[in-house]
Amino acid sequence: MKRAVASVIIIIMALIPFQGWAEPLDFVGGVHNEYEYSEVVFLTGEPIKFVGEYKVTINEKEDEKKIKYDFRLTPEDKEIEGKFSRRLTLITKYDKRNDKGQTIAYTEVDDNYSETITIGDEKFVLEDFQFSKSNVIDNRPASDFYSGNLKGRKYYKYYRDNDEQGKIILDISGGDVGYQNFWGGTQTQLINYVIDFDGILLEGDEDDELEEEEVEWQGTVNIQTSDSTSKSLKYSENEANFSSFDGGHLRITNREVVSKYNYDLPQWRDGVPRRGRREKETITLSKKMNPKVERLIIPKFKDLGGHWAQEYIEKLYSLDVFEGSVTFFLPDSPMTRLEFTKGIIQACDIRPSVENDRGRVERRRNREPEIAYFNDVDVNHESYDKVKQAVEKGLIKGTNDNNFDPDEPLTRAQAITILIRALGFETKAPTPGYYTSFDDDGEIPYWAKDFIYVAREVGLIYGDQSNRINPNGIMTRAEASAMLVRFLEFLQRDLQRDYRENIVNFM
Amino acid sequence: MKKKPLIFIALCILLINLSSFSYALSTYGNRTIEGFLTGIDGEELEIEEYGGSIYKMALAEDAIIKIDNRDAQLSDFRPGIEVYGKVSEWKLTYIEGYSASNLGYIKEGGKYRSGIVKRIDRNQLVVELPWNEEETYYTFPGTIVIKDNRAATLDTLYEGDRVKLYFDEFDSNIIGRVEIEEDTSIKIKELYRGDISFSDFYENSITFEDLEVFKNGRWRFVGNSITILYSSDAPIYTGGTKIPPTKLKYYNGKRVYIAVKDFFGQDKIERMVIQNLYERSYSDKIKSINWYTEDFELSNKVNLKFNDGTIIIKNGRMVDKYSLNPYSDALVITDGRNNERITDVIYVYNEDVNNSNIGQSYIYAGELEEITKNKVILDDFFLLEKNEWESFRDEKELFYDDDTFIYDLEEDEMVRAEEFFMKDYSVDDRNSNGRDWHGYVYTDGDRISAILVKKRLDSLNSQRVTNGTVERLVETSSVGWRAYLRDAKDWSPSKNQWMARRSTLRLLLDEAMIIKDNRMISPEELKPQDRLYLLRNSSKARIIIVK
Repeated sequence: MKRAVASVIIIIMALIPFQGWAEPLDFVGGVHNEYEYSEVVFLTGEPIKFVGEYKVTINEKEDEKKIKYDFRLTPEDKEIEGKFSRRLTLITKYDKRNDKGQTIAYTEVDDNYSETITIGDEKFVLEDFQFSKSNVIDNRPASDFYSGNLKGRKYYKYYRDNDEQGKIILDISGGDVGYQNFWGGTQTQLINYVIDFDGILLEGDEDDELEEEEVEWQGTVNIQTSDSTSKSLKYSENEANFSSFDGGHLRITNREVVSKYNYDLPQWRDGVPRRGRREKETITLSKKMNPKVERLIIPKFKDLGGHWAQEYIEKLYSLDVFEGSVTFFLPDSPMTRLEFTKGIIQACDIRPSVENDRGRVERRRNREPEIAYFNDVDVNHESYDKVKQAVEKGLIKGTNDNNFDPDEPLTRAQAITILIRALGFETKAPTPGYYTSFDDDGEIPYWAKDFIYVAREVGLIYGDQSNRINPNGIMTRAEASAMLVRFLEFLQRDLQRDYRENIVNFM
Repeated sequence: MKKKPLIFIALCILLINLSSFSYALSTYGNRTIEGFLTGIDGEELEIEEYGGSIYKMALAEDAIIKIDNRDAQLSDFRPGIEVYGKVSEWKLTYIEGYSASNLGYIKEGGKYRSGIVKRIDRNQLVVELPWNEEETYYTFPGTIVIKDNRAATLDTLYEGDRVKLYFDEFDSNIIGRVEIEEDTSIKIKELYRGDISFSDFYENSITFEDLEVFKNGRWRFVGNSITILYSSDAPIYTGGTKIPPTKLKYYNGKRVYIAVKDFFGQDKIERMVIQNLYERSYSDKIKSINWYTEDFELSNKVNLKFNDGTIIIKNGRMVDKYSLNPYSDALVITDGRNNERITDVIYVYNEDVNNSNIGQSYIYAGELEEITKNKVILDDFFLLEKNEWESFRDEKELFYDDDTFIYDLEEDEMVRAEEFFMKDYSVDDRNSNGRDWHGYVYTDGDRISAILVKKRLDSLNSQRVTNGTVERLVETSSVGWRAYLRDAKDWSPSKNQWMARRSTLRLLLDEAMIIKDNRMISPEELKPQDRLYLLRNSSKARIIIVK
């Protein structure tokens, strides 16, 4: 019964039209904001930009997602008389492989689709739509990373004055790549169209007489579309002087969809393609959503004024990353292993999986005693839940003697190891037997080598002026804060650049 | 009777084994063991030493288990793996297996860097990485180059380009593959001047009043209340000092100079300099530069300061101060008072046939003295050097192949390589009354990339070398394709300087050899925003190189 109620709640929540998950609408290069949608259509052999309204309904269950699209558009160029309507439902089924921390998704189009494009006396009606897409989603603690492939084919009938005059086959291939975490998400689609027209067109002669001409033409369109959400922290000063605080941080969520069409189509003269002449151009589109603004808690530490890490610490405090005294932060005291672990869980909003929660309910009901993961963090420890979560997400492993040493000072190597585990990037290290570029490579503990190597490669850490990473050095609370803020920037900004600009601007 | 020897033998064997076992026990009481894992029985490992002895041992409770010096679990081990162990109290306290055969292996292209090319010197690229560190990387003849999703050559690279670099070894600085960002998103689209009205830090945008664009040597009004996006990492400077975007509100009403790039059809600020005092502009040659003291002198003896915030545009790209060369011709916009002036903008006019010293392209003109199956000999040829035709009373041997673009301007058609030497473009002076044709030749070294042949050579003395940006293209039935060039600069041989034009230049393209990416293209393949380097007789373009 409870399960049924939960499903209904999920469905109702998902029916809210604005989706938080960055994902372009359909696979056609269209861009949208909260109220408007536009895409470019190439079926006539020339690009025509359509704009108008859209409706998206998402029905999401645990292992299935249905997205229903409904587009009603007209040409942006008012001199072109036309209209465009498309309805389709994409059904994605998820195969969760919890043992591997991965999910496989299969997407197909529901049979109940329709698409009609009318331009002047010409009409294109979708007769058949074959579509298959599959993604693998690597569910890592701080972020999901995914990549997918798709293949599809659309068969249109071509009508002029309501008489069938030919057909168009639109071959679709490509894929997408993306990530999703608390600080942002981007999905970039790379799609190729091959358009094949075979039909009868009207050719105008010198006397403006129209003659029927049997024509075949081909064209290609490469589409790169990227939908990206990112959250950033900004400081806003208090305009009033007589206030209990000077200013504070706010979290701003921005979302933007951009698209680029590179097309290669025939050049047209008198209604038919010119022999050997091609039109190769690029069209770009973009739309932004209204930003979402959230004010955050104001820090009031007495011991941070002028400290080099003041900005980092205050940012993290605003996010409730640190617990304890609200008056003194003690920036130059050592950061403990437990505080850092809790900090990253809080900063990245790493949540326990649904299965774990359910499991806990069952355990409580059956009153089975829970066995602690570590000897020194028992189930009654005030931070037991966070430690347990960190173990289950693979962030921490403890020491060889099965302790966590929660109150021990955190070393730089330990901190870096936790951050890279959160990203799941440790697999990017070479096979063992290599050295890092740091001058104190020999001091890096064996268990931290892969993590420090990868952190350097992705630009999360740099050496000091002597090119040393100082892996066994104790991290102060200020240094750990700076490292955490850099990690959040990586989730928010570096990933966005890698998944958007570094793909689309190189095509 | 027969049983006694058997029992004796059995006893002997037992004694031998016991002695060896006791030896093993004593040896491995606190020792190491090396060999092959032959089996796992529950918590016990069976190890065959290199010497052949086989031992079965359990793991200590807090045993360290590793494979290839990385943490592992017992379940990761399989019989056959080579192992090394430490034994204490008859238990393994440490066990390490060796599995990887390729130490330090990464997959092809497994090491990745992205950044801005700061300096190019033949096979050396200095790249600024996202964490503001500069690294030197090296190309080799096998380096794969990709631009616009197509194979390209390294000579297309400019300082200021953004690149993605891929390496095949973890410690290598030799580039296996380089991908170059496409032109539209890397080029500086416009240079604006305007007054800040207000900034919106929610959407990273600034609204300007009296916005003007720099075009054809003058500031031209664009509009009021124009909003332009900026990237949160786009630097903002005033008086040489970097200011954070959060302080922008204190500069409302101030005049700024902004360089923008294209971001999916919209302008996006790449760099902004807030004017501090009073503007003064110069269009002159840079005589000398002192990078250490950050000042330079113009030919007119004016000394100016520059800094990290100065907007420096060269070859249509944003570059740093070290890419500035003495003897460059430039528009220089300064702000200050009297003789104390800081440079806000340096807009370099110079263009060359080659983008960097990687390129080995040349432009020749001359009489086609001899054409063989793979070779053209030019007689009394001319070579374009430093924007001027230089005459040589000599012969020049150049080579062509099936991929060479050959165009007959008289017939207005392409000529295949096998036809080229069969036709009468070159005649035997002793046996013929005909005359040799002439050609404009664009080469890569001594290999002809493209050649345009015509009966008579144009007057080279009256040719002008020009560079500029295509504003629009028009095809008319009367004169064919025509390009309109903005921000055009003409080379002045007498002044030895690029002179900025103050009006749009109209060019006729139908008789021109147009080269893009080392291939000949038709006029319709040119696009607005293309930067051109060209030779022209008045309005008739002869050779155009799309930069």
